[in-house]
Amino acid sequence: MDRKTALIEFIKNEVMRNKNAKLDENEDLLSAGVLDSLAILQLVAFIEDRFGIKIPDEEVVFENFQSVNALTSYLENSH
Amino acid sequence: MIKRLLILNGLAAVGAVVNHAVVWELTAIFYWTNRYLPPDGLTYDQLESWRLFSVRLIDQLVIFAVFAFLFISGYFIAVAAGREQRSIAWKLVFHRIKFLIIPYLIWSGVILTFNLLQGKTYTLSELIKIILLGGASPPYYYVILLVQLYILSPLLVPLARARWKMLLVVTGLLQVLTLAAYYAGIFDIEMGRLEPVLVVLRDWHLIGYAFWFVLGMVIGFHLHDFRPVLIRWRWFLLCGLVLFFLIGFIEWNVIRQLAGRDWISPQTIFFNRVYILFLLLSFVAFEAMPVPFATLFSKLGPKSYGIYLVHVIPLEMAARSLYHIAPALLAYQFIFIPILTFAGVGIPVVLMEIMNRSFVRRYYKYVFG
Repeated sequence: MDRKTALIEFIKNEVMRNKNAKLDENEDLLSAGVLDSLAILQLVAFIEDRFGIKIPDEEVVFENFQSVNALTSYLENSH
Repeated sequence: MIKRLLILNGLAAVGAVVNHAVVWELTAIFYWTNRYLPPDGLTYDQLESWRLFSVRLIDQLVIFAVFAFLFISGYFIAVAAGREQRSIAWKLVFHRIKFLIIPYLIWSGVILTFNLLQGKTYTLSELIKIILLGGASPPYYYVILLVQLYILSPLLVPLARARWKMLLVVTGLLQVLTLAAYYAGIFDIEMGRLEPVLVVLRDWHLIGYAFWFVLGMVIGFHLHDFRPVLIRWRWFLLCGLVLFFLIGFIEWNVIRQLAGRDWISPQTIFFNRVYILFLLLSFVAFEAMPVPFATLFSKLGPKSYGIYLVHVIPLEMAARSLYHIAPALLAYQFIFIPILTFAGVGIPVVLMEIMNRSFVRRYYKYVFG
């Protein structure tokens, strides 16, 4: 499973708690209320555990977590 | 550090439950002694006993809970604001508040329904006041406080970015003013015309607690600058943490005795606020230090709001059940408090798991946040 699919699955299952939810890859996850403070922390922990990627604290910012595409491209560009 | 915030949140969730279990322990100490002491046992004879001081010690360990929640919420605002945005979107604030308010209304409704079933009555205006002020249960003041801070956050973000020192000083001074108002209340000092101001300072939690939210925001925005300083001073922070833990503990008892009170809220003690500050900064500074039961606490972290909202119900049920079924246990603090804590954390977590595994799990956020 590629990173993007794994991220989408995690967000749907663990954050939105709805496997059948529609999740646009460009959707603004924060403004749409999908991600809150704890969900971001969960997502960071998931990325570290699943992909073995440690995201520096300074990189945990809106721009990198804004959407699935933003997060995927951040992970690809920096790791 | 980010992952440690999840652990801190879990620790704070358990801390909040212990903090409120202490209230029931005090009830057992002061009002329920007839259930476990001989008939001639005086109700207040435990006032200066080891039991009171050990419960205070337990309380001292966990009084950081709400301050940690506020710190983490403030840090999140910094994350949500990002590097380039001038502030955070109102839409984000709206969604955040939505998932705070709806669960809050549900659980306030549950508590009020329990109260009605027990014969309590409310007028419509009383109900409105309870909902607006978080009055269904004493810990619910936190929800109203957090909502106000989120509403203010779009205005605070530019200040936390550009004028963070001023913002910290102003909110810090407001906190000191609030503590002064608490002290005036503890010592029954009449302030004449200033009395209404003191009432506002004491009752409007936003004034005294904003500092902790702002601190989280400021550290979030300026982590790059703060981190090396905090790491360099980490041993100083740790020493300060231990020192102020003790000073706060002593100050509480001195003030309590001088004021002739049985109990005063430890959160209203100046040096306890200093101790909590050192604790949070130490948590950031010692980011590589492992936390015992880190996995457990990081699993509880995301459930913290649900635990916070629900725990008051199982706490009360467990305490009252023990009063009726096993009153002898009320005499044993180190059994009574763990049972309450286990119920206060365990029952909400079980309820959350049941909902999470049910066909209505998509509505989970509306019930537990």
